[in-house]
Amino acid sequence: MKRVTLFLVAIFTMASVILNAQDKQVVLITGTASGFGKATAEKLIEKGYIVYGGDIQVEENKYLDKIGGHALVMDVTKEDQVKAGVQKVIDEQGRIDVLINNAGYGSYATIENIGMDELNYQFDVNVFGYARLQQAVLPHMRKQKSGRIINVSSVVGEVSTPMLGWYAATKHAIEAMSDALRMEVKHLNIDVVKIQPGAVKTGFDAVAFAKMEASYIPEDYEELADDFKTYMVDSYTKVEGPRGTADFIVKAVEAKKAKTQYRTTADARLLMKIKDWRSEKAFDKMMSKQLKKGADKVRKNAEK
Amino acid sequence: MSKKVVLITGASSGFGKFTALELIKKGYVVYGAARRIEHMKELETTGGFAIKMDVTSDESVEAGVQQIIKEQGQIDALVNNAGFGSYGFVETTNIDHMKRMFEVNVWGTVRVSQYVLPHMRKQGKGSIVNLSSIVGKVSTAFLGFYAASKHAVEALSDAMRQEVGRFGINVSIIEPGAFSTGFDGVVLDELKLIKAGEAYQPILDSFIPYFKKMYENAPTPEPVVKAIISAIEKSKPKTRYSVGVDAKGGIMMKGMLGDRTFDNIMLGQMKMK
Repeated sequence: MKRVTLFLVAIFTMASVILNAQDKQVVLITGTASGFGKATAEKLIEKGYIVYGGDIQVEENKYLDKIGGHALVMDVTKEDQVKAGVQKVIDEQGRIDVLINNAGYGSYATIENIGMDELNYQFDVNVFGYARLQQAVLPHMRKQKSGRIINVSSVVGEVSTPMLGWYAATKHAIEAMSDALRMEVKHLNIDVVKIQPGAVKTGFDAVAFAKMEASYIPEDYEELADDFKTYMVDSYTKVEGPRGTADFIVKAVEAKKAKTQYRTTADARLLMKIKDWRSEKAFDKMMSKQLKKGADKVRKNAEK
Repeated sequence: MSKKVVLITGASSGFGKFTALELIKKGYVVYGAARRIEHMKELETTGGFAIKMDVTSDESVEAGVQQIIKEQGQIDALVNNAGFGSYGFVETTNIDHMKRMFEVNVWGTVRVSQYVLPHMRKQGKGSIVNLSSIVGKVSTAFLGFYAASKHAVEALSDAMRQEVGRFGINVSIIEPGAFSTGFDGVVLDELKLIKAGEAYQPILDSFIPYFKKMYENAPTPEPVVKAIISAIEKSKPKTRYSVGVDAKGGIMMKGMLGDRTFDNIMLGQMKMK
């Protein structure tokens, strides 16, 4: 009897060691100094994950070390920094279970007027930045024969609107790259998940508006730009913070069988439904009406 | 009515060349632009104008557009067709190489549009036709970055359409499936040079025969030319033209099925499931 008990205890101990080892998954997140990246890092650390967070904003990223995470200095446009960061995780932990590609950036501008340098940089961060991280992490995941890559896209990965065309183009590109990658690594037991938030208060808008202010806008576009700004600045005072989306990202990390994509906000889900139901021309009209009406309403309220 | 002036990029081969020749036949004033001007002899002998243009260079694009405005005083339609497909796995593809593809397919499309749009705004009318692809709407293994570049073209065209509609300028997207334009030969040569690595070799080995077969059975490009011309001529053109049974079917299937099912069908076709 005693032997059986001992045997059972041994089994349970072993099982719990294995389970604990599985619990302590190693996660690498980019863009952890603010927004979705920060909210996700905090949640995962609280849950006991080993979290490495890379960001170009070194000071703002230091909080990670204080709460039990690991801060990495990482500019995702620099291949050597990406490689060094991934190598550090491997040296210290021996593995990377999850990569969350989140570092991103955008500016509001019309297609006609955006500067070529600006759009170059947007693609270098949003699209090729994700690609660099994937390329650095995948050899390790293939060796492990397991892994999950979570790419933060956007609702504008599937729809595109005025003033947001460039940002939407980068997110559309992320969708295509993610879809292809999911098929390419399926036989290697690696999964790829897309996250599609709508408008969320993450600090994104402040940067995007600053870029818009600094850009040249010809007279013809002034009305559109003004409506857009009036409407969007007001909208951003009302939208939710990043924590709700972070919950979905955590879900994508933890799900045994993850969905291929998570739409994380009500506006994202609604917009996709409308887009599916309406013709494209009707959708265009609706968007432009919404912009005009929304802006007029904000202006009226301001007068009061 | 004065003759309409059309600028077509990538006019030295493929859809661009066929469209240019057809428009010349219909009486348009056609400017064909390409890096290799020596490949546009037929265009010139049939009455078109050939312009040497590199869509990745501001000076080159500016000079080309300037020349047309000087000679014709207007540009009624722009067909952004210059582009190429470069294939590879997401993990093993050289990123700088991919960037060069984006420079032509995405930034090139925008660069030419940026130089043409001020004239169209002044005219209060114009049509812009952007060549995307079925992979602008669906993506699949081994085509990730090419699909990404075309997805980007879709997004910027959608935004552009909404931004310039108010000036009387139409923007249409063309999404061809597989058509025999000579493009497949270039790709096949390139495919044979790719080192996929052990993990991905099985996909590549099944992709090459799949791709070959697809193009062996591919139709000739007339329907695409027809769609481009329709987008130019109609006062209210469609926002997008999916051309070819595979394009229409692929896009519909993707919309109807879940991602996982769609993945399995695509991988199954490549015998990778």
